[in-house]
Amino acid sequence: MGKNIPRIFIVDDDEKFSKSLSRLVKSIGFDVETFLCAQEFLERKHYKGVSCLLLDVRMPGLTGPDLQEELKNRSIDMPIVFLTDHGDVPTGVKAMKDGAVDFLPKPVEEKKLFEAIDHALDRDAQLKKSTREIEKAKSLVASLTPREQEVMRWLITGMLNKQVARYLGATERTIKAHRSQVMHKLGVVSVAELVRLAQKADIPPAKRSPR
Amino acid sequence: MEYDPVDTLESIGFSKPTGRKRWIHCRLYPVKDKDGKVLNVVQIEEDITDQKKAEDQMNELRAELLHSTRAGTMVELTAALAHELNHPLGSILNNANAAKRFLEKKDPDLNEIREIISDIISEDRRASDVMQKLRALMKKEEVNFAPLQINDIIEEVVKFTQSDLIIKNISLTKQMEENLPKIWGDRTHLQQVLLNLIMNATDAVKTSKIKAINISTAKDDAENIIISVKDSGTGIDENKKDDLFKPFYTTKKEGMGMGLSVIRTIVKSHEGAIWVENNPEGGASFFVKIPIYKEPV
Repeated sequence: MGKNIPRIFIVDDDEKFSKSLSRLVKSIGFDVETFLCAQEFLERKHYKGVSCLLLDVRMPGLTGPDLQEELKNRSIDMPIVFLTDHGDVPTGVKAMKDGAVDFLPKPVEEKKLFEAIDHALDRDAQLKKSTREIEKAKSLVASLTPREQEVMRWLITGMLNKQVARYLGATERTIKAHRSQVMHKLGVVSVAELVRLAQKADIPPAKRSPR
Repeated sequence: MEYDPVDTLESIGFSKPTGRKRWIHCRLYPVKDKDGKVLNVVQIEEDITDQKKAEDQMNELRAELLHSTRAGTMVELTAALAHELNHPLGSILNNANAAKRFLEKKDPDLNEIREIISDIISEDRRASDVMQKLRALMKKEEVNFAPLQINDIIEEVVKFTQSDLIIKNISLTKQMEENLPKIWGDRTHLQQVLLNLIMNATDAVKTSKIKAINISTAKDDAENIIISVKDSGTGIDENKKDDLFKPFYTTKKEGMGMGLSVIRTIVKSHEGAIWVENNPEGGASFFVKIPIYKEPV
C-alpha cells in the first residue's frame, strides 16, 4: 500500500455492512482497515500516518462513544466520524462536543460520507503537521547549550543585548555572540520568529526579578 | 300435553313503539292433543338486544385491543427496525456505489465485482426476511374470544411438543390445579404463547446437565390464573429481564428476537401480564397472568 495514502479505520459490528463500507471507501482510493469490535481496534498498534475513524455507535461490548472516550484517555487524537442507525440526538450532541468530526445516519449518503472523511483527514493532517512542528521546535531548542537556552529565554522577552547582559552579569559582546549562535542553530532571522518557535517548544520567557 | 319447543331462533325484529331494531330470541312450542296432533303453536319472544350488544361490544373491544397493542409494539418496532433494515439497505447502497466506481476503472477486478453482486443479493434477502416477519406480526387477524379452560390448552400444546422433548431428552412435568375457573381468551393465540414458552425453555436447557421443564397453573387471590413455565437452564441476566420482551432482542444466532415480543402482545390483549424470574435453584421461570372470565350479568 502506498506510503502517503491516508488510511480509514472502520469499527462496526455488522460484518456485511462493514465490508460494504470498506469497499466504498476503497473505491475512492483510500487504504482501509476494518474491525468488528472496539476492543479489537484498541489492540492494534497506533497508526502514525494521516487517518480517521468511521465508528458505529451501537455495538455489543464497548460502544462507539466508549471507544471515543478510551482513545481520549490514551491521548490518541484520531478524528472520528460516527455512523448511527437511529437518530439518537443526545448521543450525537455529546459525541460532537467530545470532538467528533461528524455524526451521520445510516444508510449513509455517499456524498456526505466522503465530505466527512475529507474533513476528518484535513483535521488529522493539520494536527499531525502542528505536532511535527512542535517536535521539530523542541529538538532544535534541545540542541542549544544551557547557557544559550537561558539567553534565548531573555531574548524572547524583547530585551536588547545590553539589557540581557546586565541581567546575566555578562558583557554585551558575549550576549551578542550567544544571540547569533541561538539564531543560527534555530534557523531563525528575527526575534518574532524566535518567539513563535519558543511558543511551539513551550519555552517560557525569563522573568525579571525585581532589582 | 307436551311442550317441547320445535324451533328456536334468533332474529332481528322491530319494536313497535320506537321502531328501533331489536334482537329477539324466539321459541315455538307446539300444543298437541293426546294423539300428537298439533292444535296450536305458542310463541315466546324474548328481547335479547342488550345481551347481544354486550357480546358484540366485547368482541370488538378485544379485536381492537389486540390490534392496538400490536400497533403500540410498532412504536418500539420502528426503532428496532431502523437497525435491522438500515444495515442491509446501507450495505446494498455502499456495495452498489463501490461496484459502479470499480467498473469505471481501466481494468476492473471482475472477481471483486462478482463478490459485491452476490453480497448485494444476500443483503437484499436479509432485508426482505425482516419485512416478512414484520408483516406476519402486523396482520390484523381474526380473533375468537371464548371462555376457555387453560389446562386443556396446555395439554394440547404439550401433546404437540412431546416427541420433540423425548428426542432432546428433556423431562416435562405438570403441576396443574384442578377445577380452575375459565379465562376469556383466544385459543390459537394462547396456544402460540405456550408453545413459544415451551420452545424457549427447551432451548434454555439444551446444554444443561439436568434437562427439566415444569408447567404449572394456579389461581391467585386476585381472580387471575397464573401459568408458569419453569426451566433448569442457566437463568437470565438480571439486567436483561426487561429487554427480553423487546422486539428483535435475541440471544440465539438463528433467532429474530420476535417470539417474546409477540407473546407479550398477545398476553396484553388478554388484559394479562408476562414476566420472568430466576429460580433460586437455577434456571428461569416465565409467568403469565390472565384474568378469570366473568359471565356478563
